[in-house]
Amino acid sequence: MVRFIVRRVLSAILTLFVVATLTFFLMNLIPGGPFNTERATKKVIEAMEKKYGLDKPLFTQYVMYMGRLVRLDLGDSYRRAGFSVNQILGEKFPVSAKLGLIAIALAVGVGVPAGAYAAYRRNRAVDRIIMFVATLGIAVPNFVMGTSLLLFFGVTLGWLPTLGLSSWQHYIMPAAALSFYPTCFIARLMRSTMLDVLGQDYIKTARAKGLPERIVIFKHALRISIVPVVTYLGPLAASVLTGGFVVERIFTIPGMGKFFVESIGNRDYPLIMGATVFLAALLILMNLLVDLMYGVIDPRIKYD
Amino acid sequence: MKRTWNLVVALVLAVTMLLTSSAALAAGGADAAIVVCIGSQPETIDPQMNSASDGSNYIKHLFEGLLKYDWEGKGIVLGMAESYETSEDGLTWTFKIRPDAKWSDGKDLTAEDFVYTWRRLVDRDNAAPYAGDMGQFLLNGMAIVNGEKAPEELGVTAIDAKTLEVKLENPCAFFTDIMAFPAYYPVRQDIVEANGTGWINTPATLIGNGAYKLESWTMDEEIVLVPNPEYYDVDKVVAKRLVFKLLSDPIAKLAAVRNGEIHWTDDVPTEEIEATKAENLFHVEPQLGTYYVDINNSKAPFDNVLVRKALSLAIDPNYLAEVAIGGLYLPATNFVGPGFTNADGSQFIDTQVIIDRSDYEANKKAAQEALAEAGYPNGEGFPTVEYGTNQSGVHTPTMEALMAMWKDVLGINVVSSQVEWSVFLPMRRNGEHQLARNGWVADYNDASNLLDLFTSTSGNNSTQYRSPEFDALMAKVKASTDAAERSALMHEAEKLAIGTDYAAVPVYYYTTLWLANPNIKGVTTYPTGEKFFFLAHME
Repeated sequence: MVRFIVRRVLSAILTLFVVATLTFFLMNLIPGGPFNTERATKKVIEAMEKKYGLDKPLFTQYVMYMGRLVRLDLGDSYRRAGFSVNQILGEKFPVSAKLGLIAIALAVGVGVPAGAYAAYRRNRAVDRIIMFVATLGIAVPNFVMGTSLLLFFGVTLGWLPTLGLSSWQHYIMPAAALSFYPTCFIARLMRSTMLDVLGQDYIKTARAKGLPERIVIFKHALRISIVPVVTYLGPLAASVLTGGFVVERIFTIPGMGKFFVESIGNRDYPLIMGATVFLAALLILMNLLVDLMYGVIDPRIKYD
Repeated sequence: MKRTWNLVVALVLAVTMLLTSSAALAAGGADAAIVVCIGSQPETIDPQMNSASDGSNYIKHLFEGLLKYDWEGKGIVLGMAESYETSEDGLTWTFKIRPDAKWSDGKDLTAEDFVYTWRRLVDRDNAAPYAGDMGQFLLNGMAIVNGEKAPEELGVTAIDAKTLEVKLENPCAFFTDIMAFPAYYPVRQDIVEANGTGWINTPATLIGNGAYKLESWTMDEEIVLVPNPEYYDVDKVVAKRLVFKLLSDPIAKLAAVRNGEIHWTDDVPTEEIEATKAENLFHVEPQLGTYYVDINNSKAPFDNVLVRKALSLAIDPNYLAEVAIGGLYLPATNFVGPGFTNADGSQFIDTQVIIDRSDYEANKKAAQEALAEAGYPNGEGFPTVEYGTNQSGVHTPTMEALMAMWKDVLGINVVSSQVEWSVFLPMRRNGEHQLARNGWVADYNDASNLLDLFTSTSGNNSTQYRSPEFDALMAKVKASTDAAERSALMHEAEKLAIGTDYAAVPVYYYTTLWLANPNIKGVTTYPTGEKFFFLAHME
């Protein structure tokens, strides 16, 4: 177990190094630069590039950047004067993470029971209804969902606020929009694995032993069926916690998703690097956590 | 029993939540804060480092120059200066600073503060975006920007604590406009030097001299301003709490205006103009600026003036403005549009029509003849060319209509090259484009601000137009102290570049658009882009 973790952490560091290197050079390959504004003349741009060290050879810039990265210093944003990338991530991540956690809780809290129940009642009306909604949810992109919610509850009915996250009501629509797809995905996933599990020998044995159906379902079937859902939670958590770009844009939430994409448009190099490395680290961490959770949930899984 | 108890708790909780939320909503309405949006997170609100119009409006609420734009819209008035004098030759200006001029931390504002600030503007090490555009007016300003002289040699001296002497490179008829421009607003040396670039971002270190001071700045969310008690005219400030929301999506802003979360915003989704007009939210006013087709004069086939003439006459700005973009901007005949004034105060544009757009049929014929004379009758043999633009707002419909007109009238193929903003800008600036959209909104009310774009030495001359005759005219404009002569020379220059050489095709005059809650009063706008909320209140 300890060896497993150590090995995973080492490989994570190597992965991060590769991600940072690739991003650095790819980013510099895109045409355009960070100081292109409508009125910036060549002279102004040259002066800015000199100020930020962009006039140095690319490899020198790379070495300097990696040197700072090792010390966890992500540098200063080019397009947000006086704000460091660490400061920006520190301010933005909690905003996205809070909304993301709510969305994940919703997705799991609704998706798992719905899927399990559909499997339990397979081919009955309730199964059909749940699966219809779930299929719909997978087909409807979150920008359609978000915009429809905004239009109906925010504008037409005027029940819910539409801007930012300043009160608990502000969370309702974005959390719903953000969690709709994963909820439906989890419900479908849960239903199919549950059906699979319900056909397994040990379930038949349990039933044959005369265990109450409640115990069969909750203690034996559900626990094993949830493994694929947990696998899905790793990448889901990483993507949802760092902000659904589209949802953040629709509800004008000042989170990570929005400015991550903006930083690319602006060629704000330190911010692109910082956000990418942070996202990669988070993804790796989440996958590691998921791997560790398997052992807890399914005793058949062993680490070596 | 337990179940009933749970139910009671749940009910109590639900009711409390509802009550608190409605209380919060009520506090946000009525006469509390004025909530507006003039852009997303600004790049900076440092007076010398800013180059954007949203930044400039934050600066004008937080800082004040020797002169300023009047809050009620009466033009340029005294700000930190209580009086000023100009020498006979127009080269020396002496400003007397108000005795009660103070910084927001209570310290006296002195002439030395201006000396420090203006040197900061032109100092190459600071890479200030407006160093050249604004610094050029002061003696040695351009030489310092170019690294030929030291910042200490700038033509600005503190005679005593409250007297500032300013020496100019050339006499400047519109120097009062320049003195009201944010790049010339003072900043404090001790604060800037102790806190680095971040000095402007927190209430503790943002020491200004304007009517407001920073209460808080939440990144990508809001900037909150409250009146600065040290400001000499603080009693005149009506909006006691000013919240600038930092939003980028026009649809979200519109939704927020409709449900009352925002009172005023200068972003209007094109497709919603008609609807917002009906709701009494939409407002429009001319702005000092021109939207134009940037022709790369240095590249074949556009190095031929007849080709440029054909391109220019083949389009119909009236159709473009009224139909293609639904009346968002006004159709242009000249490069210098409405709002600019002659020496005698009359409208610059009333003196002459550069390209007569009233008879499109005649223009079409003239365009076809010009193209035939250039060697491409009916467009035969004319290469396929690209029109470059970024993808947003009116640019796409404009481009589509232009391409259709050039195809119909001249029989030439223009294809679109829509690229991302960060790629588009350097392409156009470096003259790598063929045709491209371009536009310029004036920094001050003088036609030279627009016409300078066509001088050979301008860093913003992306048309690559080179005309010694035009350069000579503009040099004369710069050196002239006779206001009437200046106006005449500028008319001549405009006629030459646009009406004779067809260096670019003016398409629209810009307008300022905004959405306002019908109850908000006291907001002032200027054609140069000022958006003032000092006197804003809800009725």
